Amino acid sequence: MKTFLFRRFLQAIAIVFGVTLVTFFLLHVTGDPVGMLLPADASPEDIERIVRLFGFDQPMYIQFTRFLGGVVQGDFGNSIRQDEPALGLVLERLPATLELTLAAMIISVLVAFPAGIISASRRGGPIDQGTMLFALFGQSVPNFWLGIMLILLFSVSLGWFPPFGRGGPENLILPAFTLSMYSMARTARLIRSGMIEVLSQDYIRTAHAKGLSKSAVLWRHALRNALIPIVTVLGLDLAHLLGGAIITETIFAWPGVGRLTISAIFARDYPIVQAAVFLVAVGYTGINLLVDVLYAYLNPRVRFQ
Amino acid sequence: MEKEFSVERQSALIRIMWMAAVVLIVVGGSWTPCAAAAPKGTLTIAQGIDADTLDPQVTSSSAVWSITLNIYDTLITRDKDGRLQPALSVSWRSLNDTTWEVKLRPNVKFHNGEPMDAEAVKFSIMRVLDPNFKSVFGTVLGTIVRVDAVDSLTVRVVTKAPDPILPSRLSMQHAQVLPPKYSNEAGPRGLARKPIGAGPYKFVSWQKDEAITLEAVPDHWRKPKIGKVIFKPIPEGASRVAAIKTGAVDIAAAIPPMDFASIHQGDKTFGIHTTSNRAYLLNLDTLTFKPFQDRRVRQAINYAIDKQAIIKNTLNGYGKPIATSVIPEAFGHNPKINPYPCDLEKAKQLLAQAGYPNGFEVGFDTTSGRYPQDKEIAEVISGQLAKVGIQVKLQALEWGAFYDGVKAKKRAPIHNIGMSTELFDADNTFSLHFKAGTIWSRWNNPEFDKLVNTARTTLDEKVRQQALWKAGELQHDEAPMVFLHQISYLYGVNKRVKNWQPTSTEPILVWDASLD
Repeated sequence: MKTFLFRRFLQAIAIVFGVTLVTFFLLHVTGDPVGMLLPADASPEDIERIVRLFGFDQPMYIQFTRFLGGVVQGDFGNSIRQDEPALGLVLERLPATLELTLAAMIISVLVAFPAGIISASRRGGPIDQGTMLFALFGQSVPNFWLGIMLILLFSVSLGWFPPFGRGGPENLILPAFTLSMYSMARTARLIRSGMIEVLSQDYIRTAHAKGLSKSAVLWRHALRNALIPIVTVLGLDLAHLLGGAIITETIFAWPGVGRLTISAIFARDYPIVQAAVFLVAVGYTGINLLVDVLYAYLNPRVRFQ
Repeated sequence: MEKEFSVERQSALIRIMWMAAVVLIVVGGSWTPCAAAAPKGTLTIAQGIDADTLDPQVTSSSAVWSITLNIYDTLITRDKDGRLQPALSVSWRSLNDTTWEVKLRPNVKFHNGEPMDAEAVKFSIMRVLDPNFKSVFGTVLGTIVRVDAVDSLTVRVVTKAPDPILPSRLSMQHAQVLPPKYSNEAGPRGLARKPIGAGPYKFVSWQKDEAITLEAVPDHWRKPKIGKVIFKPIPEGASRVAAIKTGAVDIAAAIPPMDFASIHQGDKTFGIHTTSNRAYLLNLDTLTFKPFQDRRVRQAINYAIDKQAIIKNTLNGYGKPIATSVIPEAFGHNPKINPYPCDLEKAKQLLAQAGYPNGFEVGFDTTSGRYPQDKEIAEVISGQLAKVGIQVKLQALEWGAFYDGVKAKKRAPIHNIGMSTELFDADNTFSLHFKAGTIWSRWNNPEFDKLVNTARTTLDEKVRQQALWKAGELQHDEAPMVFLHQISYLYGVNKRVKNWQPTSTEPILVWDASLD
């Protein structure tokens, strides 16, 4: 088990390094950011001068070496637009994204679990069909559309929630719900099908035969086994959401990492894109690692490999 | 008898005198002519992007200038009719062909107490021209050789060659005045995060991507009426619309055209629109694309496009057709030139004469989301050109890739282009987009270049106007570009905001506004 985890840890480091490398080359190959900085009337001489001041005229291998040297010390360079350390700027936005992501996960789990379990136990009935229809809707609807519809209904028409921005809990509800939708719908369906499969197993019939109550069978035996693949998927969801609730953050003017990253991409602000991608890669591989550990705990069969 | 009477009388008179004096002092003391009420209330403004820096000289974002112009103010400003007005300066004149003298407003202080004087102006302009500083105004102010502080309120600006447009160059965002002592102490990074200016509002705080807060400066000469101003970035257009409708913000910029009417008819809100200094055209490659080397083909395209239909259907009627690249508010605009009317028959005729009776195929690169409805307009134009046999292959690009292609001369024979005339002079667009050899220019007409150079190098307004009018005629007739419309800016405003007018240059200035 220990060697297994150690190997996974090394893999994680290699992945993060590889992602950072590929991002660097992709960014630099698509052009330089100076054109984005200057107004349209800038003369070619002015552009040359600024390119030189930023060091973008250096050959690629020199730029890359300088970059790598910085990364090893945790320095991704300064944001081209803001002239402040890029990593710091990204980390500044992290709490906002974490708040939104965790709220979305909580909503997703709180709704999906009961929905999936009830659907599975009343398979074929009206509740099951209704829930599954809603889940289909939730997985198909674009994030973008859902967010704006929610704003129009609950904010503009009803006035229940503020239309944008980060603040108290009332600001969190609409964006978190928007963000949670896809995960909620998919998780509900997965739980339902997982439970159905588990409920048809022999050991469930045995448990019934033993005289256990219906709810005891459901919660103590069926759910625990159905949970295993679900935990993996939820972990991936969390990592995925962290990576960029870009659309939701843009619609709700939420000051998170996703919004910063997308504006940095359009403005070719490399250091910020670099730092954000690095952070996401670390988050993703870190969560995957945790999921592996959790999985080993939940599924004893893996532990004794 | 007399003595008694006079003593009593005297005492009474003295008493009355004292009472009158007290009354006068009390009343006179509390009466001040035009007592200005202290600035009060909070105004919240939603723009599409957050500031990336608050150093006004390193960014070309007008969203940033909305904020910094209220903090720093500028030497010269423009009123709503586009005319230059004194701001931190009180007057300016040319002493000779290459020297302009600017007299500064007395008794103006920066928010940290430093005096706004000739040294500060000299410092600010020279900072832009410093080759080791990443300023974005190097080109615009590049005609300046040096700045002399003659006395504390007089500045002389010396240019390389006669520069008739220098006062415009010293207006608006280009000449925001920075405090020298603070700038040197704080360094560029400190300045970018915590600006200190001489404007009617001072900087209070900046929560990145959330809010920038400004506070009115008491007893400022511009007499700001609103106590606190908060700028909030809301990137999504629909969200800005929701924000103004729910009253979460008081002014919302860049309203999508199709939402303007519902905001204007709302009971808490109304819409304001203004023509901007931005013209929208299609750039035709007259240098390497064979059909466009023939003037008749270029004119045909101008005749084939229905500008009014574009304005009506994609911009909800907000926009004005243009005849040349010069906006009506700019110096050198020739009022005798009319926009090309939509005439499909004439277009087909011209194409046939040029040898393309069945039209031809052509590529069209458009930006997406950079200008109002750019992609939609390109689609409409493709349909309109098909009616005269011109088959358009449309491609939409994000701005970075689009601009890179322009620089490398790799864009399709037709591409869209928005031109701003921020110096309010015809020379702006003529020099940047039409003279041979610039980044944007795909035309080579020596006669045009000569006229533009004439207008650039003389201070004589009559000579300039004549040359610019002729250049405009030439540009219209030769049609190296397709002239579409002047872009309008649309704003949503809450009814409690009074006396606010948008500028035609985009930054939002708030010192004249007040709240109910």
